[in-house]
Amino acid sequence: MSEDRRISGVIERGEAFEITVDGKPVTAYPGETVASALFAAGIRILRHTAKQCEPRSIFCGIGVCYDCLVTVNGVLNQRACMTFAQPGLVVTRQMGITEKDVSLE
Amino acid sequence: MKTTQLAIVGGGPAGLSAAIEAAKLGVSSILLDENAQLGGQIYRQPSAEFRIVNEQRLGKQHEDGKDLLEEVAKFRSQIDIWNGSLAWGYFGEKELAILRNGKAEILKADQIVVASGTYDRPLPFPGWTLPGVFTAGCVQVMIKSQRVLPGTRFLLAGSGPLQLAVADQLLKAGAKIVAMVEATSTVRMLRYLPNLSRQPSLVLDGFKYLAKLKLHGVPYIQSHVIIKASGSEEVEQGIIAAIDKDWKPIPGTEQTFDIDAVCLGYGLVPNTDLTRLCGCAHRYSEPLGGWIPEYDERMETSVPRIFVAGDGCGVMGVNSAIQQGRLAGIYAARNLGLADDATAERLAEPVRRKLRSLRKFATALSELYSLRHGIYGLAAEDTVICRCEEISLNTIRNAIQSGADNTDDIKRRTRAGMGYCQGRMCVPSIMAIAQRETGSSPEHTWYMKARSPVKPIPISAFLE
Repeated sequence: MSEDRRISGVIERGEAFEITVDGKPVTAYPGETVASALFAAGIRILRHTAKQCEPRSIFCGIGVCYDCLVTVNGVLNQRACMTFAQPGLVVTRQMGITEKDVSLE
Repeated sequence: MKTTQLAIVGGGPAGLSAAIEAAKLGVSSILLDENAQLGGQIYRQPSAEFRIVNEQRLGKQHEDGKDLLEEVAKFRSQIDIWNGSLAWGYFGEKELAILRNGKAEILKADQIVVASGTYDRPLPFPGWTLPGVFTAGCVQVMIKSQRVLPGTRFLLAGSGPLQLAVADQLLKAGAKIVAMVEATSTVRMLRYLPNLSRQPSLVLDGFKYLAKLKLHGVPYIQSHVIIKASGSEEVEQGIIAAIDKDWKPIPGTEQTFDIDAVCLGYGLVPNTDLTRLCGCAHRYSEPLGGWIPEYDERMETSVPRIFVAGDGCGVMGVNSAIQQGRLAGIYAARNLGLADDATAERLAEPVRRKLRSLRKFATALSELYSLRHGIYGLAAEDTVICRCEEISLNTIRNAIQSGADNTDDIKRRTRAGMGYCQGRMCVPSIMAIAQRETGSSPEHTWYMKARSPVKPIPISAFLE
């Protein structure tokens, strides 16, 4: 899944910028959520769960289910579907509790 | 502490209509919504930072939403809009706890309208937690607001007309739909057609959508449900099966599709955490989505000066939500002494008339598509029911068998419902599971007690 998943037509986006996901650059546009920027880049697995280390992604898409939790600029458990991408934002995917490598604010 | 005449929670059609109607009568209000933009789910607009270049292609809902938002803008001096603000607590005496700009604050209101809306009904089956399995609402947000396709080959499964609209949006966005699976049978649909014809334009829309599916060669498969999603790290296959009258899958009827996305639309669940927190009386109504706050002909709940409106008090659709919001706005103004009884009644009468005529259609629609309980038997013993705490069916079943037969006790025994989502994703299913296991009523299984904060808030919100 490498091609851009953004839907063409109807709207025009502003100027692209970069965010960092697990140390790698990902393109985002103003008005996009972290989830959208990742999905557009073909990244749909947003975390692995704490207990069973199972892959999860966005599910409800409206901030209700808390399944799309990611670490944003060092702050744990932020909803990727409700967090807007900003230039330079650092996103870390959470990989289960045993492999936790995050700094607590 | 900030004070206001009227606090409105939720910026969808119901909340916006309440704000407008109250403002017309001279009320100053604060309208809060967790989202960055107003409109709620149905009137969700493309992200504000996007420039719209082809307005027509956004469709009628976008137009309707824009009209309502333009009307709100006319009352800007009276309606104070708090976007990105979460109402997370209630401490009595009409004091709402709010998270705004990262800080906790108290908003004291004379009147409150809770217009909290709904979310997609979660329905557990093997593989439903896999990345690539989305609710219909999720797919809609991604297309309508974010303009990103969350997959390329979709299997749509569910019950109800929302799926038809999603299918249309997916096709317009260039996605492939391998099949659209509808649990409700043709026979049942025909039986309800006379009552549904009260809103012929909506029925016509339905037929248009079906025609479009046919045009695109999308198989429309009725009396079937998705029984399994599989894949190693993301969804790769979806398996469907025919169902009997109780919606139990019939062995030997399975069909498998190669896909990378599943879109689930099993109806909507009213968001009742705030009304439960406020101590409003609730009742159970299967066709209206489950537990809903009770309200009178003014949309006032059992707690005086707390009103409800929209799908959050029973799923009736956008048109009813608007009228209910208007009623709540009128009577909030009346309670504030800004409209006398005669004025309020005169304004409310035509609104009530509209609501009555809408109710017949909404009731027929929700009865037609309401779920049969066999579908709650899809989950396997190891299927996760509580997605947050990763609690599977067998753990919940064991708890029920050892005597925990209501949702609060099941939570205490298993942690199901204790996670980040505070039970929104599992409690509707746990209620159904407990009822199936013990034969008890919804009144017995109850809905888990709501506690502040209803959504997680950071400790930093309380630091100076």
